[in-house]
Amino acid sequence: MSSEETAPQGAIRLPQPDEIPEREKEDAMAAYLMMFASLAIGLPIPLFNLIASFVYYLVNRKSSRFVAFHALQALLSHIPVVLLNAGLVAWLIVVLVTGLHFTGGFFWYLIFVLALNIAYIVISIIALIHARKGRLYYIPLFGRLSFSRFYGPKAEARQKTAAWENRPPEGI
Amino acid sequence: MSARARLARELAWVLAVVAAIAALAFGAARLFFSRPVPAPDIPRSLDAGLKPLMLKQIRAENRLVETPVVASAIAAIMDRLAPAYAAMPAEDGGVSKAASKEGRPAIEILVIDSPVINAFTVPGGVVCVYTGLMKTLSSPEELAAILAHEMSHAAFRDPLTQLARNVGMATLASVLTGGQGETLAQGLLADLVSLRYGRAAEDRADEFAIALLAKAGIDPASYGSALSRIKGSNPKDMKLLRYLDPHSPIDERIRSAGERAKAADAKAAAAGLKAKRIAVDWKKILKALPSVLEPTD
Repeated sequence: MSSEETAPQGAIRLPQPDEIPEREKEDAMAAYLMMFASLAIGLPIPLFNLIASFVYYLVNRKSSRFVAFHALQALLSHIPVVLLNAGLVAWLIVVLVTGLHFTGGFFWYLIFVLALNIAYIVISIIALIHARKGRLYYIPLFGRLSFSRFYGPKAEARQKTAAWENRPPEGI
Repeated sequence: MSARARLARELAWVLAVVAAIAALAFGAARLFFSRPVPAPDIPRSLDAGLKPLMLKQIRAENRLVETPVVASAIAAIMDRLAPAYAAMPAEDGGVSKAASKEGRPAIEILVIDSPVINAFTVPGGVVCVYTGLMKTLSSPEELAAILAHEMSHAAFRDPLTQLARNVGMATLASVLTGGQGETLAQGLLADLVSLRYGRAAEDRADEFAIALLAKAGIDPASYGSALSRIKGSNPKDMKLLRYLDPHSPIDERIRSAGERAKAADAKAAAAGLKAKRIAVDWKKILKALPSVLEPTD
């Protein structure tokens, strides 16, 4: 590993809980609530609820780093769960349409996915409470990915390229 | 440790936890949904004690057909089946303990006047056949095939296993909900569990029945033809309902019955045995069945 990769993330100062406005804390919390809602509503067609989660992230990624961090962390941790749920629904449809049997493998997968969903919900609730209190809470793996996106060494440069200036159309 | 190495380590941790959950789920699935069906550790005296209660209940709720013509036909079929049933080796059905020769209950056949196309077994070795089913069949050998299937349930005490499981599920449900009664989800779980076990028992009964028919010197192909008759009488195949039926899809059962019958035939031919028809005039039996309640299509 090169020394650049191990460099401290000193470029962006991390906000402390008492510096973060209430509004941002609520928006960060809403990111996790959004995932719950889409998990429940999107259960029949699980891939569609990713769209709602993704839109929430897109809307909030420019607003504040704190909100964007939690929105991305919620979205990233949501993706594997949604894919596994989609697999369950697909398996169910295949069984019902083709007249195959519910095999032992199906029940294994059913219990597996149910347990993962429960674990996901528990972790999300913990993250949600931390977000409401203005804390940066890291879900294993996804927290790290999300942090490097918004507070990492290259985060500052990324934001500069994303700047947009409103101008009149050419010729006016 | 570099940032990338830490990320890799967390990825490994997440994967390990997911794998652990998968392994636990596998264990749970094995525990609840696997075969073979375990024999209930319930004393055999309970079967004997339940039998008079069951008989009383069935008599109270149904009209039995006990005319001499029908009774003698059943007796003729049982003359062939009963010795073979008693002589069936214990391991033929898979779980030897449940079907040990000593504990095998004696079979009692009841014919119930009803258009329902079905037969069932209750604890204590009581096999009930509906007249609707008998009218669907075309030979005494086919009825013998159905009875052989039910005799497997009696031999393996499947009804008692089912009863014990339902009681267990109800208890579990009331413990989980603090006695608030069964919720829909718990009801569904119980159904799924009994469906899974039920299907294993049905598949075993199919296998046992053909072995029993071959031993009794009855053409094992009559098992497949009996299933075909039942299939033919059910033109309205409700797709979704099939999943709540503990039996495997009937086409699959007919197919595997054909294969098993072939194997049984080959075995019998090697032993120099020949299938003999059952000496019962089936048309006379059908005429003797009450015709008040015709099947409504």
